[in-house]
Amino acid sequence: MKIFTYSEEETKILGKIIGSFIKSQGIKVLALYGEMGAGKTAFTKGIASSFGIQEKDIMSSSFVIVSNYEDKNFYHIDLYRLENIEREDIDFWEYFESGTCVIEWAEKLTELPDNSLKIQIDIVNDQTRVFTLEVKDV
Amino acid sequence: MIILGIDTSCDDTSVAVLENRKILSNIVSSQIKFHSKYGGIVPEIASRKHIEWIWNVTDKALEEANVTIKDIELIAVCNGPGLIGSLLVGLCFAKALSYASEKPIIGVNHLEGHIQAVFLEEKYPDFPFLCLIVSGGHTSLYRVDDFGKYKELGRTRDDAAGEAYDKVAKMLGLGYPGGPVIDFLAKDGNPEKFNLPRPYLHGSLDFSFSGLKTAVKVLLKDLNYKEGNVSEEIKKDIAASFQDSVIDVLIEKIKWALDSEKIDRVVITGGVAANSELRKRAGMLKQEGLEIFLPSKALCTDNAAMIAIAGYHRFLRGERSDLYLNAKAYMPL
Repeated sequence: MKIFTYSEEETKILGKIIGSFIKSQGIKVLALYGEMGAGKTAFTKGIASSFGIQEKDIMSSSFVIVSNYEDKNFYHIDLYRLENIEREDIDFWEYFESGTCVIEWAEKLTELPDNSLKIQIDIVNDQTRVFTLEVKDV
Repeated sequence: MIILGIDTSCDDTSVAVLENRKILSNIVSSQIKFHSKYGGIVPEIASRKHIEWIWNVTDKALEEANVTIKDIELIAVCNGPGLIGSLLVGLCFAKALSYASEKPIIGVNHLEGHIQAVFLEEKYPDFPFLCLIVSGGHTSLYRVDDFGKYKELGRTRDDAAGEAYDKVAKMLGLGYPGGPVIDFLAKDGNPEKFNLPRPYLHGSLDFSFSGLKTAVKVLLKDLNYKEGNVSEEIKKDIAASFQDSVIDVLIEKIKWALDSEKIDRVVITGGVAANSELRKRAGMLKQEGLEIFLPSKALCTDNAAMIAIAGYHRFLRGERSDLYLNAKAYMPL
């Protein structure tokens, strides 16, 4: 499925809709793919708002890699700075099992758990983005 | 009073000993070489290194201060915000030490530590003052009315300034961390070569550096450069143009905040406050009649002395933590 948004505001609204969707479907892992500037963090702000997290509390997670909103069981993971992650080095599965995970730069993970929602975000032009959704092994 | 400070919030294991406001020792053991091959901090590795090092760093801090555990009268420990696994190592260590030595323990917010680092210097501001914390993880403006009285005026909506430095450095193939190398290259570059945006967000004291980072990316694409494969000359000019944009925004926001809060003194702290151009431009604000406080570079970057002094001031106000003290990754001040 493909969905277009025409502003950052619309990207956040789409995030909110997808957030309620994954909540209702019990999907625990949302893997985001898209180049720098595609709007992954803006989209995550929208998703997080469906989990009762304020938009301003979602910032880039590139520095800390994992932002943990423990009282909401929500993890905002950003793998931008990581190269060649090996399973022994970092155990993301612990997070996958403990709450809802939104993963930016998910292509840096070698595998995803079943029942993950994969979303590719592509830049069409300055303001327009296209979102391609795919559910893995439901 | 002898205070032991502990900070393990990110990738540095740090322990300090203070005698009131005087630093007796401030040991910072950097893990950077273990993380640089990953292009960033790996949380699990950071936690493991903290466990390996915390005792040695503590011993070294006590030895350099010429005191023993028995002399310590207060244990101040950073319990957030930061990497949760890393924070837990310092916190559990501090709690065990507190329990075994029967000394009081106090939890300190890392951001409060950054704000109070200036009180370790000979010259420090009167209240109220404005404080800009600018680092790899934070870009926030606070109004400080007293010890413990902080009002957040603005913060980044996306990337922290230091993070934008890291990302631009990566695009230019300069490795991690990006701050010092961009600062170095910018000295020989032309800041007017490329016209990068200034994300001022008019009417708000928030920051946003995500668009600036994207603008650098678009610029490299327009110049037909692949990531990392950029000529030396262009690297210098991009570094200078990018740095000019970041610092223009930081300085302008400081001025707006001073104006709206009717304050004329500001403290600039955090890892990015070690940037030479920011220090230079901030120093120039003195000509406008403002009082500028820049803690020394060692006190701007993460260190345990800043945790100790913030803990000391909390203790003087009668605050105490107990052994139920918990660590929090996300902990606004």
